[in-house]
Amino acid sequence: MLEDKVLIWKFKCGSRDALYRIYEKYKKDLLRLAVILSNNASDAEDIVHDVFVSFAQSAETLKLSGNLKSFLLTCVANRARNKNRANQCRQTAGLDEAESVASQLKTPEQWMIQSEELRRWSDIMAQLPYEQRETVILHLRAGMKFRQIAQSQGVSVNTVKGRYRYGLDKLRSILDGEFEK
Amino acid sequence: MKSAENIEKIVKNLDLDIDTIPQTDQAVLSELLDAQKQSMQQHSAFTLPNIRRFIMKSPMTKFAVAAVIIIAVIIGVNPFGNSKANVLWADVTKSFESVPFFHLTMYIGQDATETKKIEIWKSTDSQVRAHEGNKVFFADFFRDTNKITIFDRSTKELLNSDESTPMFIRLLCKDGHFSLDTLTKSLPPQVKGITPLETIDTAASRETVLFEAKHESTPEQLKIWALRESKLPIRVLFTDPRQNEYGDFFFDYSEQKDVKFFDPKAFLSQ
Repeated sequence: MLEDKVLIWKFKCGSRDALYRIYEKYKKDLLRLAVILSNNASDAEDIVHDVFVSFAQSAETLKLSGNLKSFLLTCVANRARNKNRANQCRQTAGLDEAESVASQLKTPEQWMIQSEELRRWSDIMAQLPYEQRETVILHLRAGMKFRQIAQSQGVSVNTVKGRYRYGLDKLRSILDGEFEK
Repeated sequence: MKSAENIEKIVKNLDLDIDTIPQTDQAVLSELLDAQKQSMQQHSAFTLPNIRRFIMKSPMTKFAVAAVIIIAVIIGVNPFGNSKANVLWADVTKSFESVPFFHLTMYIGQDATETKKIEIWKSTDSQVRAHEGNKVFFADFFRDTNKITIFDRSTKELLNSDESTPMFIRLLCKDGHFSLDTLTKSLPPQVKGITPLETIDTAASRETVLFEAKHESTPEQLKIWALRESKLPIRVLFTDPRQNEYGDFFFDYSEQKDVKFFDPKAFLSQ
């Protein structure tokens, strides 16, 4: 949107108001995407928080040639992917138990309130392998093209199309199963 | 059994509601603003050397700067040696700053989405009235450079802050001073300069001059048409073909609106 271009320009000039408006405009979209990708409220809040902090620090160096929303959503997807990999490594290293004890000790400030529908869909999507989940969500919910997703995931467009197709098939069988119940 | 198309439709149209807790929101936001401030301070400390000291340090740089100044003076006196191209962008912005009143109609759109139309009038006393859909905006930049009041045009109810129209009004008026520069600079980012385009000799080109700015790495483009005689801008067109995005701004200087037109009290008493 043209308004976003103006906002970015103002943000790069150091406008606090522009940063405030970008935050207000996109925080819910980013949180929603992060929840579905991570299926964990606390991880989702961390991911979006980190994306916004890096964005705020990038005012002088930011070179944005496309759409602001796609850029922020891609940042969330990248961070969610890294977090997912880190969680997998932790699981294989058997650190989960120690982490869960540590997380019980913390009292983090809650940031978002999810609707029942979001919780339900986050659980459904979590049944898909991570790459398929990310591809389906980025294409259908974030409106990203396969080419853009391929670029962000560092794979070929055909691989992304394959992941999308398998993801839809899996989703269909999950939903059919739910329906039969 | 659901088809793939059905699944696509379901996922696309899901209403996944989410809300945020205002206190945490405020905490995150102030952290972001601090991060922005620190990063701007750090960066400017690293990247703003003393230019004068740098120039005077070496005889080579002194010589280069002197040469640049001489060339700039020559170009300024006789731009391109062509009588048709001798309207400079600086003349256009200067003329616009001195114009007593104007009416601006903006059309903003993207892809197949509906075009947004915004109309802005400026009075001789730096008062502004704007219309967008069913909203009417009033500002008196002579008295208060920050305040913009918004009403519903039909019910005349006072409305809460609206985001986009005040942003465009403020782009035109910075600190009570109306300028075209802030508007054009904000459109395609990283534009280095606006240059006049040589156009074929038509009746239109005898009356108007066309300026153009292109983005360094994207197809974003900005075109500005100005009248040769008065040097006033009449149209600013921004396009980004990647998303079929455009902003088309038309300036009109023919009609001076009555003082009451800019008065919110008069609007409310109508």
